[in-house]
Amino acid sequence: MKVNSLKIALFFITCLSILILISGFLVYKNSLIALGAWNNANKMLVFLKTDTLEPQRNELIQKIQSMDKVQSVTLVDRQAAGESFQKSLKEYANSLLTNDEMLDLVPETLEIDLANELNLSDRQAAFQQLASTLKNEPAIEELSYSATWLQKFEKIDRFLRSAGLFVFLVTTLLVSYLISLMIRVYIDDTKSEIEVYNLLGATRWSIYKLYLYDLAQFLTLSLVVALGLTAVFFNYAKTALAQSGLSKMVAENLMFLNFREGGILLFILMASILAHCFFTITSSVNKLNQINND
Amino acid sequence: MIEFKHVYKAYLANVPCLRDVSFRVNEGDFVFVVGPSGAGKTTLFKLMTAYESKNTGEINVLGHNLSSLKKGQIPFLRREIGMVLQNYKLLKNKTVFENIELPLIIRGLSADERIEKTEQIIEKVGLKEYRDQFPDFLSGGEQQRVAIARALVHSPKIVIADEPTGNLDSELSQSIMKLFKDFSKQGVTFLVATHDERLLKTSESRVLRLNKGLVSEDVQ
Ligand SMILES: Nc1ncnc2c1ncn2[C@@H]1O[C@H](COP(=O)(O)OP(=O)(O)OP(=O)(O)O)[C@@H](O)[C@H]1O
Ligand SMILES: [Mg+2]
Repeated sequence: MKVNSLKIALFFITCLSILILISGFLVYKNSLIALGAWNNANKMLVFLKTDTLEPQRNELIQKIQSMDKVQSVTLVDRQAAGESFQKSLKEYANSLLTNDEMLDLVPETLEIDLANELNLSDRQAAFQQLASTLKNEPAIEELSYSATWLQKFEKIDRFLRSAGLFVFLVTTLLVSYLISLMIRVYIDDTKSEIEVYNLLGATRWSIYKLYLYDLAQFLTLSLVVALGLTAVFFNYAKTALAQSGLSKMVAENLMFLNFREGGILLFILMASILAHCFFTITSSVNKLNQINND
Repeated sequence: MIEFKHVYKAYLANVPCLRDVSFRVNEGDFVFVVGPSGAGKTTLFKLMTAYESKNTGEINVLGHNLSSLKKGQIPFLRREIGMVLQNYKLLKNKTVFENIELPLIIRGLSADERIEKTEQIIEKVGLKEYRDQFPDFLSGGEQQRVAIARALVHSPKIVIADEPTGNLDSELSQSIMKLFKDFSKQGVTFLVATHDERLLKTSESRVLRLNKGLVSEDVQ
C-alpha cells in the first residue's frame, strides 16, 4: 500500500470518526450498565422490632424468601448494622453515641434482594407488593425502599435507552457517510489511474479488486487503531473513576465492547462503506471509459 | 484486420467529424494517418478501440464487429491493441519500469516473464538509465518513449500511435520508426498519426490522408 498525504488525511478522519462511534456506543452501553448496577444495589430494608425473638425472626425470613420475585434475604445483625450506620453518619454519630449505646438502638435488619433480571418498573412493583404484604407483620418495625428514587431512575432509564439508540444510529450513518465521502475524494483523485487501466484493457472487476483491496486494508488498519485508542481511553477513564472514589460500583461495572457488539458495529460500518465505494468506483469506471484530452 | 465501411461520426449533431470513411488495413501493414489538426485522426483511433461509437457504418477490428461487441469484451479487445496517446497517459505514482510493466500485469504474466520483457523494451527505446525514475521527472520526449514502450511490451497485434514522435528530435524519431518497422516485420499492424512530413518521405509506407472527415488520399 502506497502512502500519500490524502491517504493520511483519510486515515485520520476514518480513525477519529470510528473512535467517536465506538466511544459513543460505550457511553451509551455503560450508562445503562451503571443504571442497572445502581438499581441492583437498591434493596429493601426491613427493620425488625428490638424485642423480636429468634424463631419469630427465622419464620419471617422463610416467609419472605418464599415470596415471588425475591432472590435472597440477608440478616444483618446489630453489630454490622451499627457499623454501617455509623459509617454513613460518621461526623455526628461518633460524638453522640458510644458503640454500646448504639447497639441497643440499632435494630436487626433484613436486606431483601430481588431477582436480577427485573427491570426498573417491575422492580418497583415488586417492592410495592412486598411492602403491602409485610405491612401487618408483627415483628416488623419499619420498611424502607426508595420508591421515588426508583421512579426517577425509571424515567432516566427509558429516556437513555431510546435517546441512546437514536444517537447511535445517527452517528453510525453519519460516520459511514463521512468515511465514504473521504473515500470518494480518494477515488476521484486517482481517476487518471482508472483511465489508464481502462486504456490497457483491465477488466472492470480487476479495477474493483485493485481499489477494494487497498481500501479494505486501509479501513482495517484505521479500525484497529481506533479500537486500540478507545480501549486505552476507556481503561484510563475506568481507573480514574475508581481512584476518584466517586462511584466504585460504577467503575467496577464499566464494560468495553464485547465480541457480538464489536462484530455488529464492524458489519454495519464495513457494509455501508464498501457498498458506497462500489457505487463510486462503478460510476467512475463508466465515466472514464473514454479518454480525456486534458 | 481493421475495416471501416462507410463510417459516419458526429460528436455534435450537424457537425460531422468523419464522413463516409472506408478503408481496410491488413495484418502487418504499416499505415500513416495524416491530415490537418481537427481532421479526425484521434477520432478514428477512438472508434477502433471502442472509446467512441460510430453513428452509421460498420467497423471490424480483429474479427469483431464493434457494434455487436459486448461491454465486457472491450477490455479483451484493448489488450490486443497497443496505444500511444497524444497525452501519454502515464501513471505518475509508478516508475518508468512499473508503467511499462502494467500491460503485462493486466494480462497476468508471471513476474519473471514481466521483468524480462520489460527490460528488453526499455533497452530498445533507450530509457535504461531512467528505469526507476518517475514520469514527472522526465522530459516530454522521454515520457513519449515510455508510452511507446508500454504500447509495445506485450507484443500486441495492432499498435495505434497518435503523434508518437511529436516530442522527439529527428534522430530519435528515426530510431523509434525503425523500432516500429522491426515490430511490423514480425506481423504487427501499425497505424501512426503524424504531422511530420519528413517521416513520410523517409519511409515508403502507405499513407491515409484525412481531410475534413473524408479520406482524401490512400496511397500504398
Ligand atoms: N469529445 C468530443 N466532443 C465533441 N467534439 C469533439 C470531441 N472530440 C473531438 N471533437 C471534434 O472532432 C474533431 C476531430 O477531432 P480529432 O481529435 O479527431 O482531431 P485530430 O485529427 O486528432 O486533430 P489533432 O491533429 O489536432 O490531434 C475536432 O473538430 C474536435 O473539435
Ligand atoms: Mg489528435
